[in-house]
Amino acid sequence: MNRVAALIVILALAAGAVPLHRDSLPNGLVVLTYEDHSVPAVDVRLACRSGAARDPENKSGLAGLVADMLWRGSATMDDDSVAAELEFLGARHSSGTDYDYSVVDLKVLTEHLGRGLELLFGGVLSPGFDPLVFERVRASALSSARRTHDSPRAVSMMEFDRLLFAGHPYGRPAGGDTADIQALSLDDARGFHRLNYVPNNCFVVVVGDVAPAEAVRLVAELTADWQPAEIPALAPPGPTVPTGLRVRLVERPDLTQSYVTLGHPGISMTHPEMLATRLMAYILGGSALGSRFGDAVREQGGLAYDVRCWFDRRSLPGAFRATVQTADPATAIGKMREEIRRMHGEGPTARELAGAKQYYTGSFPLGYSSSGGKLRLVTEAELHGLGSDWLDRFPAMVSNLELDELKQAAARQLDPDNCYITVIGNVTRQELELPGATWLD
Amino acid sequence: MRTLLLLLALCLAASGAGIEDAVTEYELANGLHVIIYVDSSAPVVSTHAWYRVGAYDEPRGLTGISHMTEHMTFKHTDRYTPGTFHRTVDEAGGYNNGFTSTYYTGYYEDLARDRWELALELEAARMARCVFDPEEFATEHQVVTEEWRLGRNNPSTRHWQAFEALAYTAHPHRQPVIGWGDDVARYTADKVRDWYERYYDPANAVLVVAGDIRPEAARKLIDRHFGRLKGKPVERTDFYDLEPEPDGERRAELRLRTRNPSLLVGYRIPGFRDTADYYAGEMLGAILGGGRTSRLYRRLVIGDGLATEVWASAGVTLDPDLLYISVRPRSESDIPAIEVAIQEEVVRLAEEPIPAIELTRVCNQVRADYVFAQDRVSTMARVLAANHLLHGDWRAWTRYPDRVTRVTPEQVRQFARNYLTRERRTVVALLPAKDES
Repeated sequence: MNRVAALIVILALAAGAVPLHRDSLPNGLVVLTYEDHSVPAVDVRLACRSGAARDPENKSGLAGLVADMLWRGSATMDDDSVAAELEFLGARHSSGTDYDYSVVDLKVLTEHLGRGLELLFGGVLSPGFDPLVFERVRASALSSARRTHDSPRAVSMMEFDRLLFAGHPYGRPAGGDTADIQALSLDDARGFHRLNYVPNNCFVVVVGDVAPAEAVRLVAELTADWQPAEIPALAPPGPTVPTGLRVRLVERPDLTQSYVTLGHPGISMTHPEMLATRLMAYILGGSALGSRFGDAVREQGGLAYDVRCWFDRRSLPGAFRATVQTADPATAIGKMREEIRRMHGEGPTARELAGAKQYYTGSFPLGYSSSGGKLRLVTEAELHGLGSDWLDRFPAMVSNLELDELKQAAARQLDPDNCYITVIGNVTRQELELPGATWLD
Repeated sequence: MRTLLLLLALCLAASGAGIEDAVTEYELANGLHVIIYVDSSAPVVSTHAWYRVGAYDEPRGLTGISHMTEHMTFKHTDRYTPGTFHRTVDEAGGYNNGFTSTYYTGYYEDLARDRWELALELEAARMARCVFDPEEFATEHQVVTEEWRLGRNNPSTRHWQAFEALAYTAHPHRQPVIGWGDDVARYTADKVRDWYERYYDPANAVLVVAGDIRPEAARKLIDRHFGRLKGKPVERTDFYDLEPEPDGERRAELRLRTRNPSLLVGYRIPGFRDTADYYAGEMLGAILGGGRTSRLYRRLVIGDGLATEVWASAGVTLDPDLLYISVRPRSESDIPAIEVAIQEEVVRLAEEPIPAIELTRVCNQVRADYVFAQDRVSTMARVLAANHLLHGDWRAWTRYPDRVTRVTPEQVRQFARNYLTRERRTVVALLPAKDES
């Protein structure tokens, strides 16, 4: 214990800074502790830097299935015993997978933190992988994947991803494709876990009523035998760049609206222009109320309840996407493209930039005023290597942005003429009024 | 075993003392009820203004009008023109939104503590000075129609709507909050203004301010913004006894474009005013289908392998409601066996002794959730507003863990015997349309 404690480096932060401590254990596991004693509860997240983008070809859904299995029994406890104890403690547990990472989450009263961590790391380090449990978890994943197809909005997005990210792991649904999920085996899950759940590919975020040294001590004790291993680099091809408007229309006469996704390749989270691009996209279509999209499509046009756009914030370059659900897709697409073109050509105004800065800097403390917000922000900063002082630096980074930086971002990162568009709805090619478009089957 | 005993003791010790100390509560002369909750753990303030109006109050022909009114109150006031309401909050670095439910319509702003007065200014304007311009109404009416269409294109939303419309014959619980399509199509600016003028009144509202504030200073600001507003008594109809007792099982089958069968089973249960029964109902719902160790999960998902997920819960409302069970069957053909299994589990609950540990699990969860809710001032503001409006006293929330803890196994059995009967049951299956399966 003393040996481990001696190796722990606690970075004391300047007075007044966000109370976040980042520690590295000898096996490469990073522990981030956000100390906050206001409520006698602690949130713990085990994040693994392998998500759905690491699903092997034809095995989409595997990362998600493995994350689910980690709360479903360990070498020493079966699935039902783990669930029974967690629920008896009043703890909340969940797991999830996005393209770039997977998480195993626990929320527990402070008094049960030690036991909660034992259960969490029991499953993460030595999952039970019981065949019957695996079959149940797979059936549940299959049901969820099927359910996604009930949402025309999700279908529109999936079709868009398939076009933009053809041959790229971002092109497959993060929750898995139904045919792939059915074929996943327990050996696939074991293999994925062995390869990816190693300490140097993971980090732990602890938020709440515990001192950093205590959190690190508890995690270190439970992970002392966890051995690091090499992780192969992920190097997929980039997104496909559309030329002109390339449109896929799925006609659904039963729908009363059309579900539109429109966009093109974006940039990675670590791209130097990402922050300027984020603020520019916020001004363009950050929400259905108070953005240029919102004004044109909802506030003045009455065309849709929701309209928005964003740049994916991912490890590898993601997408720029704009979405709308409307009974009049031709007019809505026309107005959105007009706004994209205007932003691309002129950029935002000084007044808009001032407003965006006020929103981003002013709302930043709100973002981490809850434990859920702290988990999200600390995870994002660590995942993308933004630095453990990122939470402290962020407001100044936003305030220092110049109007020209946003104008350049708009000119470079938006492309109104070369886009993929997917439309699911009760509408024909003619009614969409997209002359010169290439129609994709 | 020692852990178990310790937890039992903790379960009994849940208390609202800390919350009581943090709350200041009073009423303005115009009837506005004010709750101030101090929590200085983060430099933010969450301001909520909620009104006692929702789908519950809507007569036939006007279903969904509370929701339409909610939309219009973001449009235009004496000082804010269309588009500026949200922008003002955005530029102050805040979050804001509104929501409509069966029993209330609520609005909130979360802001940094140095600028939270803006929330009072906005909410006072919303309470008294909204403008209903016919052209602006026409545009927003289209927006709401698009929102209604989103639900129509969602099989799960339609499943719930069909389920509730069948489970009740007369009570407003049968109405969707967003309204029936024909009603939504027939709103006018005048009808919405009438609705606003009738219900948006200080005497029909609660204002909750939660966060890093000093109560005396907050009180002064609240008086300045709301003190001069005129209040009048707001009449509401009570529908507690409106719904006749069910006289037999109701069943329906919905075939829609989906690949996923889904099953909803609901039993008519008493409302919150029958308090002893109410807490027993909460306990019963959790024992049946609250989590992976619940009886139905163990039976349907683990034991019989007929479903991939199952949940059960008692409705948390004032009037007689439903204890509902929601199942995701593995396939359509499993549904008859699922219904048999549910019935067997209900009978087992009604007839066999219930081990104390099952109740302890539920009360430990209730107690933990009670602590978890205190993590966030906006959650606390919501909890206090909802409990004041629904139960007439925010302390209903602090008392809740103790009340659940006092439920005995025998009360749960009695509840199952009285209410989880075939005559009181509604069953609606959502099935893939023939060409989907």
